[in-house]
Amino acid sequence: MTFNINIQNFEGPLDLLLFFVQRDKMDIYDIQISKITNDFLKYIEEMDEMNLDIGAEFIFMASILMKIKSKMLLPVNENEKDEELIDLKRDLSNKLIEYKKYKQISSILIDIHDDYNRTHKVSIKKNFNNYKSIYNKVDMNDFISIFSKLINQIEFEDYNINLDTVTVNDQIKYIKSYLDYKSKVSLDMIIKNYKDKIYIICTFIAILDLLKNNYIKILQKENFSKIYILKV
Amino acid sequence: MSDYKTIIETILYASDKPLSIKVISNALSDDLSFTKIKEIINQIDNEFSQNNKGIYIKEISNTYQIRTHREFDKYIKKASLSKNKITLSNASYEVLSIICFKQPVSKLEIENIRGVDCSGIIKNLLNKKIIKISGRDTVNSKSLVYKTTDLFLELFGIANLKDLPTYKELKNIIKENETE
Repeated sequence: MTFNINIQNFEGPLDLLLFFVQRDKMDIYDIQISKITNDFLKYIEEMDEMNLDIGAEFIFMASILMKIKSKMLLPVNENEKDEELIDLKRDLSNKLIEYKKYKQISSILIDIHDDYNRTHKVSIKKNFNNYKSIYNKVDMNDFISIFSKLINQIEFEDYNINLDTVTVNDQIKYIKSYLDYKSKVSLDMIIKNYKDKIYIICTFIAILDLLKNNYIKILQKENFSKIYILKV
Repeated sequence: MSDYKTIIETILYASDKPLSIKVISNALSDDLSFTKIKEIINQIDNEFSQNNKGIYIKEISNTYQIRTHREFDKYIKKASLSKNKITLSNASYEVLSIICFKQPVSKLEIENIRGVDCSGIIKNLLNKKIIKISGRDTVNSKSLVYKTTDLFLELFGIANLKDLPTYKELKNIIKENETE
């Protein structure tokens, strides 16, 4: 029997098993473990020969299949059925059924998306209103990405234990005084001179606090552009 | 009356995003009831179709947007006017369908169903703002849970999450397909 399948096409071990089940028209509630285990292991070998990274999930699934297979090889005493074997087989069937469901739903979702992509929104490209306030639209994910960007910008030198401590209140005072002197300042400007993580963290929290108390506004022209802090 | 119609039509043209009746109402500055505004929007949409225009008004979770009809897609593409569409991998669609029907749902639950690690896909969907973190699982593990966003509805043209076939209905559809 030739064994030729496109390795790229599978989203994971369940996807691969589902392929075997459907290809061989097996009953999903009564999988032919011996056959499917052989096919599964052959597939992993092929991946290995092609120097592809075999994910841990594939190895894990292979071990489950082999466990089931080996248990099935043991002589069965009619009176005491192997509960664990039944559970393992049932779990596998249930997982495949659940995965199959979502795979089918996702193909419906793809159809919906493809269809709707054929209609285009109509809008006038605006050049006015250059700065949009991101105040209302920032979510936690935005803050995480802004913050990690800030932290990564700083080149940290050798670690020094510094006795200078800074508090969020210090930074609130600092930003307030900065804004008294200049009503608009970029975020880069404020953190530029800090080489210490704790300063940046305190400054960041200070900005969030000022924003919460409606003392400042944050503006950004577009994604990834400079962020400005404005006094309200 | 026709004045309001022109104003609302123009606002809808100018907007980059679907507009809610509330936003339109604020822009009008006059006290026009929400029902009245909705009526006018329907009127504009009717006129579009009566005059054989290539556009229509789409309602997405109580917001409105002017869009082109599907049959003109090929011409828009030929004229290279098509805006950058968000493209998703098959894996992303799988994750999205799980979130869509099980929301709010944790990463662990998603990975249990798919049998593979989904961190990268979830991060990508978060960055594209198709899903959002909606809080923490209160029952077990206190892990983050995810939900679809309004942008998801906008991208898929789904008027409302309730408009999607329910999980049960989908199961029936799938069952019917299987027995065929």
